[in-house]
Amino acid sequence: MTAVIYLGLGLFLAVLGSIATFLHRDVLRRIVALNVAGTGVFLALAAGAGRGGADPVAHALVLTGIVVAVAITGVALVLLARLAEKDGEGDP
Amino acid sequence: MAQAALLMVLVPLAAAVIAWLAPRAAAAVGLAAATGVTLAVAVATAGVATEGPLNLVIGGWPTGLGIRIRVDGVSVVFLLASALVGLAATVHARDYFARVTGFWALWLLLWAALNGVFITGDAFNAYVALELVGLAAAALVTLDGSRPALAAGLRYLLVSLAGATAYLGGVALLYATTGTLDLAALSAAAPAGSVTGVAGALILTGLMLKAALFPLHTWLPPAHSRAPGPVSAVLSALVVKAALFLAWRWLVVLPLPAGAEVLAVLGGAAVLWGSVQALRVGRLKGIIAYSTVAQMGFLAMGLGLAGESPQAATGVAYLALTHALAKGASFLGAANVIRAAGHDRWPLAAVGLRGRPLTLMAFALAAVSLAGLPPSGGFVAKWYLLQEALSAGRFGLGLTFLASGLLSAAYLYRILQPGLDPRPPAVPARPPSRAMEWAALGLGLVVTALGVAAAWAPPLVGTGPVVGPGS
Repeated sequence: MTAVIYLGLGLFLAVLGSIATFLHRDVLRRIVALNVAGTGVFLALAAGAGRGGADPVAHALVLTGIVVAVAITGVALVLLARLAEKDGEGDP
Repeated sequence: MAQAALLMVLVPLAAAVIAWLAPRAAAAVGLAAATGVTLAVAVATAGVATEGPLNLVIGGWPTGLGIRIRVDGVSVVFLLASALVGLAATVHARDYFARVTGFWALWLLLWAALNGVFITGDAFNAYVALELVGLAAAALVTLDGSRPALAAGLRYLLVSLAGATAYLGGVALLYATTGTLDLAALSAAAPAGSVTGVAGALILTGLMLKAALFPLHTWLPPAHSRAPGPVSAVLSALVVKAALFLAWRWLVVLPLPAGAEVLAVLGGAAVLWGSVQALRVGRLKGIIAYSTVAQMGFLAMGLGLAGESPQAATGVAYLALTHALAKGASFLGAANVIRAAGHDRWPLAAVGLRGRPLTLMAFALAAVSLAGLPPSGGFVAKWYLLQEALSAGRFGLGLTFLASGLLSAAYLYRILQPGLDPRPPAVPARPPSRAMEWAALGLGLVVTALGVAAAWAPPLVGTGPVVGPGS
């Protein structure tokens, strides 16, 4: 039963994040929304695979996915900060 | 033989670390790695041609726990593109980036990840490799640090993350229903039904986003035209192909006839839209980048047919290879022109093309192949696909293939015609080196030679009973 709740919650977050990504033009909001969507997918993956007891493969997948998402988010935030710096300097 | 497949990933990966630690030796390390990758791809090609597909489960673990490496005829064709374009881009970059060292570690990491995509037989490994491709590619776009480059790179990175999330969602669904990530096992275990349909739709949408298939292509022209010269060549020739390659794999693994149909229709729209934009845009690299949008559409139309016969599959594989080589030649040529002219506005920048017969020849050979004229490799690819479309009664597809060739000829003439202007050329402060001009021309010569040496392709692509991991 708990797995079903988590699965539903994960899918809800994934859909919510995806919709927000399309609705917002602001890049920082988009980055956050994509992270919400990603978290939803990870939650659904862990819950969906965990129904027959703990599954180490699914855990490894989720961990790898989180590392990838964190790395990309980090680079995206650095690029955003660089752009903000350029705008602050009045650079065309 | 199968170990050669691992070397294609390990050699550039190790070289990336060395290039990062020792920036002064980076260019030499890059060239050594390029030699290594080319040799490994040659060995793997010979292996697949003589013994059939190579399979290797790493560490001797049972499948399911161990991760499968699989190199079949289709992988080999994409790997050949990777080796040839990668080698030319490496030679070109040695002079192009004579004073910039940041390029090498990122490029070698990108190359390792690309080869990783082309050899994997596992749904999750494909995800990791594809993410590494996206991350390294986005960083390479921003290399010159200008505002448009930063904005294009950031947009590309976010598109990449969105595509990855959709892909992973699809893989998660499949894993929850089948309990496996091995593509060959998935092919047997995935039930035909709504869950597989939804998973397939998520996976293909994510990959289409990364392959810049119309209408999800809008990120590509800024990213590919704002990137530095050799980076554009690699992005347009290889990086978008990695997503296309995986889309092909999944179309073989999962029963998704609707997915193939959607690809064919969107591909047709991409050919028309990309070509019209390529006729209008006022920058040299913009023309070539929109040409990639159009040609990716051509490839997607081919994928819509590829499941129907080995002949169509051969056509798609050949088209992917010849497009990679021709696009590599065009973007390396464009880098030379822009270096000579000092800017990218077209046709003003044509002063950089005048009096440069090697680069002009590179453009001409690439244009002949992109337009699908004989005796180039592009002609052979189009011939296969056209025959297949007509014999399957798909006249709409056949007409679009022909229109694609005509439109390509029209927008590529926009590049060639001002280059033939007899007025005196520009006298640039830093002219492109001989090696840079030969790197572009080399790819153009290879793509022309492929038209003459076309006979090897069908036996190589058809080495498995089914093209792809299902065999």
